[in-house]
Amino acid sequence: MHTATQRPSRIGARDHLIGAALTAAYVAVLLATSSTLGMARDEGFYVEAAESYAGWWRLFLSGDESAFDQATIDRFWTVNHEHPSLPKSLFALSYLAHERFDLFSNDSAAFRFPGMVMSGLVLWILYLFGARAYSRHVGLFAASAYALIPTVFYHAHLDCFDGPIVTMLTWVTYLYWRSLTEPRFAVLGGIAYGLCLETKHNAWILPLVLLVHFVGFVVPAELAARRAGARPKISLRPNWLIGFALLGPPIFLALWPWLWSDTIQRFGEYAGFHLNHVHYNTEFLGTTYFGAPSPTSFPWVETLFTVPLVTVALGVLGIVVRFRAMLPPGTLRIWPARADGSSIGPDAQRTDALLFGAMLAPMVVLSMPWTPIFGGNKHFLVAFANLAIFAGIASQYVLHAVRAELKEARPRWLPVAFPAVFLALLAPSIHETEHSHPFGLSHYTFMAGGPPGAADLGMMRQFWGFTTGSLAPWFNAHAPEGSSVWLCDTIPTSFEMLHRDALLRRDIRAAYDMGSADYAIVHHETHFNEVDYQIWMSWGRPAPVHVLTYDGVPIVSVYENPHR
Amino acid sequence: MHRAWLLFLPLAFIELVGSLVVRARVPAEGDWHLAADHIAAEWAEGDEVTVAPRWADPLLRQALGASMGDAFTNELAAPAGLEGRTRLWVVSIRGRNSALTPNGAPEHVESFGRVRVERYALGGRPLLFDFVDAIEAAEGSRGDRACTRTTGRASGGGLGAGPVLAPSRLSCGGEMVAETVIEDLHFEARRCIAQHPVSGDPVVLRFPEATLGELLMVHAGLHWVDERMLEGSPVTLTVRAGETEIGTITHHDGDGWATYPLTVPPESRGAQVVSFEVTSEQSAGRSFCWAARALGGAP
Repeated sequence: MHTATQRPSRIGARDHLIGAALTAAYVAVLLATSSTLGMARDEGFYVEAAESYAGWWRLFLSGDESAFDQATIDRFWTVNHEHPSLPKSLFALSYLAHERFDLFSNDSAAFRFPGMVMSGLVLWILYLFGARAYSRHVGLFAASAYALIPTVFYHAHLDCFDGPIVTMLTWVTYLYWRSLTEPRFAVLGGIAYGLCLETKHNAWILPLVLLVHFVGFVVPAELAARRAGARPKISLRPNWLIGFALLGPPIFLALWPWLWSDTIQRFGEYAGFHLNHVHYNTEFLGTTYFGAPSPTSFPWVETLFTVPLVTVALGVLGIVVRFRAMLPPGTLRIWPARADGSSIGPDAQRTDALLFGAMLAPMVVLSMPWTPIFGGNKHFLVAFANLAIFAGIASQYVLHAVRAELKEARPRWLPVAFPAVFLALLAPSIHETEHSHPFGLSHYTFMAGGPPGAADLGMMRQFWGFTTGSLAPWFNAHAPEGSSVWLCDTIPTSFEMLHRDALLRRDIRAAYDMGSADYAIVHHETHFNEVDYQIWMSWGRPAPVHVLTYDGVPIVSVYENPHR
Repeated sequence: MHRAWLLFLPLAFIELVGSLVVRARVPAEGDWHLAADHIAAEWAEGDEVTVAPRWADPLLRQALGASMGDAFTNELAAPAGLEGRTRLWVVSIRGRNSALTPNGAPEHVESFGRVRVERYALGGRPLLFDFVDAIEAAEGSRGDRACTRTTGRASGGGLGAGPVLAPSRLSCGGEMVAETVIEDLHFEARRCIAQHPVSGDPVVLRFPEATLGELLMVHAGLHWVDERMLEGSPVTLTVRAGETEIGTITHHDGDGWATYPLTVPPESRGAQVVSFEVTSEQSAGRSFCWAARALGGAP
């Protein structure tokens, strides 16, 4: 059997150019499609935070020394202190640049742009990681397959942290991997880990994953190799960990002014928020969960139902073919190498075990019955990024098989084998991602029977009230002048962004009292049925005047007050 | 061996075509309206309508609202039960069937595009009196104090705010009794009378001009948030005709929207003053709500 992947001899500027092109192209598509995506609930919170932080950045950039007074810092940085400041600072700086230079088509794009760039950068890293570890084909396929997961595409648009943290986690993992053979990368790894900590709390568990890999796989393998007479390849000193420890916390603190005073108490407050996180209502396979125990199958089924089937299948097969290389040192004797030398074995950095562990870790954490239900798959998108690398590996086997067939039957077609296979394997992903926009959170793949099949199965249809923006055209066309809308799960800031972006008529305003509103909307999540029934009682009429659907599945109902 | 990898190519094709087929099979909005127009044209007193799958309910309500106007009421959208109904319309898509669909063949079947409409004759006991419908005529008391009727506008609303009461309410020493629609333990809409247990003297609700038959079908439950933890005190509803106790039901957390048939003794049938009293050891978080229908003899 052909091992299919072979590390390229040299990764250089051309590869960085490819990585940069992938990122640039993705960000361009995100920017071009952003205006049809209304702001989600949490985006509104981060706009509020970014606008507040922008106030501090104005002082700082103008050289005003009061920017460093605790009272000033607290005034601007206290808002949304349950999350670190790096992405929100970038949102703020982007907005300040937009204010000054009119860079974007609307304000939402200005806030979102740093999130898009941070999310897009993972494609560059995935390409490099895949190319260095396996082949350029693997890197290219991995980056493309990850970019073309509908929920990834959705989250990559937002002024939130879920796309950026995937990039940071993948970058740190990549630099750790590089530092095993090139210790100088430990310095960059430490810097990256500080930025990762400053992006989102998902960073907390990464050192543990890397430590397991280092202590359980890398060190024993290196010691065994040295005992067998090989020259040292890996430093047994955990340079990466030293880099993380020395550089990570200072960078984390330095970039978050809110922590500059009462540091321990405030850090405790920040950590406590996440360690005691509330359970969100989550519908999963027909049951609405609202507390522990969480369903163990949640991340696995979500992966199966939200990642295109071909990508999942390729990823699983990629893991299978590389499985021998993932075995812990000392266990390879249970799976002896073939005499012809065709067996796949581990490299010195134990790359396969690292990627597999990085994929598995967030899913295992979220499978624990005591882990709060956060909802959706956004907390383990990084697993998809690692799965995409294994999918890239398997895709190369497909290409080899096609080439082997063509070599005998149609040798003239060999030159188009690569683009043809590449496109064929990604065609479902391209189609589903294109179709899912702007309903990325409501999208389920063919494995679930699409959105209608997922609704039959009792899967969560949305969260964050992200679909209100899709109602703007209806309200613009139907609402009388001066109408008010009760907003259900959309916060006022997110609604206001529709005005700022000129997507919604200015005279249509938010209502805070359901009974006196002219319209009321309900985002269809099962536990929100309560709101439907409240409207029926308030207005004495159970029929919505408009139902926003996605593939025939109700997403938002709009009610009109008959007494207005 | 390498040929097995080629299977990914047809797999990609199947996934792509499968996704397109899913989209192509989505019923058009016009199909729902045609179905609703048909139902509205054939609608008769005593009819009820349901939809399968349940997630399509907003689509049916939108279409029926457009076709039936104000005749499509909360009573139809949030039925307490099917007793007393004469016919059931089952509107379905995707080949799904409603849990309410009776055994036997439908008396009428018609498809409108991808929306299927079936009508079943229910043929149950005749409805003599609906207590939720008669709430406006009800009187209440708490201890020796009579409840007073207040009318305003419905207020409240929002996730976690609980059921909204109808504008017309009985105020009973700070406790309100009124028609509402609750979200039951399984998220279904249930039109009922919110009568919560209180500490001290219980609220007693009287229907001075009720009519009882052989059977009194009582349904009861709590707003799902109050019942889902399974740790609240049981709630008891006692029903009397004049001074005669017809029956007592006890609702435990986890029962959900439950049905309690009470056989009415012969001497209590006919015109009666019927009263309902709700008690529990706990008053907080006991958003008890009930509905009752008096039914005649079996056909």
